[in-house]
Amino acid sequence: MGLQLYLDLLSQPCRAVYIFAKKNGIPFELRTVDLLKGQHYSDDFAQVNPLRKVPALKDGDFTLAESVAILLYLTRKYEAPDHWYPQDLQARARVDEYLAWQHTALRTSCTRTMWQKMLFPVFLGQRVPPETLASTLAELDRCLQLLEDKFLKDQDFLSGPHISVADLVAITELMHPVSAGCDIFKSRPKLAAWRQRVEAAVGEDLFQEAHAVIMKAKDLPPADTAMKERLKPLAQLLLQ
Amino acid sequence: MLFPVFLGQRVPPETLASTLAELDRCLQLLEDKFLKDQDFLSGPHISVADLVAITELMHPVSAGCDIFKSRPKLAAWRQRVEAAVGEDLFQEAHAVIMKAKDLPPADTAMKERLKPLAQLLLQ
Repeated sequence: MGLQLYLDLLSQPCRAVYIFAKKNGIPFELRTVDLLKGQHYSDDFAQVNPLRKVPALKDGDFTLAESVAILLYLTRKYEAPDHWYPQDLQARARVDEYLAWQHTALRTSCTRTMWQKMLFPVFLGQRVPPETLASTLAELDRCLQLLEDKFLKDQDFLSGPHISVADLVAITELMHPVSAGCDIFKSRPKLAAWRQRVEAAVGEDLFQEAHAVIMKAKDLPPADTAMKERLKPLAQLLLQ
Repeated sequence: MLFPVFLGQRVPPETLASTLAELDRCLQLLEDKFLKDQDFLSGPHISVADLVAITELMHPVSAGCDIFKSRPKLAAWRQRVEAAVGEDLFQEAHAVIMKAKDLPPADTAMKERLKPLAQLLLQ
């Protein structure tokens, strides 16, 4: 049995792994784990990832969790072109720096924005207090400013002149609030230009394919009672 | 520790209980998913992962939460990590945090400055 990637394209890090694998022609079996159906809580999936999250990887007997670890494992195993994770000491350090920062910064605010702006009202039929959403959007704005000023600066891509895994992780993250109806690129021409470059480097078709699911999230039928119950603990966390 | 001792601010018992439950959940994952039956987190030798983990765990320990007491597997791993690092260096790195409980209460200026962070950490 070859490489298996356990993904739900609803999830930002899953999209980054998907794009990376496809772009680099890495042969894999896609195992879809439907998050909204709670499939990540199954006993079978726990054998692959006891952390019960996606993305997850299974390569023969070797299982691996955490999107960053997965991206780097694939980069190394399949000897992806250098620019994805450059050998150069400082260029690599810049990629590492972005990958480390984004978990508790941009990831958090993009996930909360998606849930508070779209999934709570549309999918769960739950009202979000305006001040909570305002606070989340302010935090998102703060992270986007840091993304522009600290990471992108005047470069073409986040770690320098070439696209790297950092750009994949960032762009898939930013498509989350975009699919919730927050046009974050409208008032940020620098980020919009970077987005065009990333999409061109990835290829339009692959980019659309990876984002097909999330762009249709606003058309999801409302959750049934079972789903609402299952999503309750997560929902509470995301409303704080 | 820091809210009551340093900021003189009360933390609702249910908030603390919820936080400790989450800590416990993470420690269980650390044992079951990462450490398993190995000597160190990534295998037979100490790696940067063990340094990141041990310094993290010394945080609640310095607040008076003896997380190693009921977790012999983690306690044994801690001994191995401390031995690999060297006792002197380990103590030196943790001198400041172990004295955090003796910090004098924050003055008004400090409290104002820490307000936004404090709000975040009380949720």
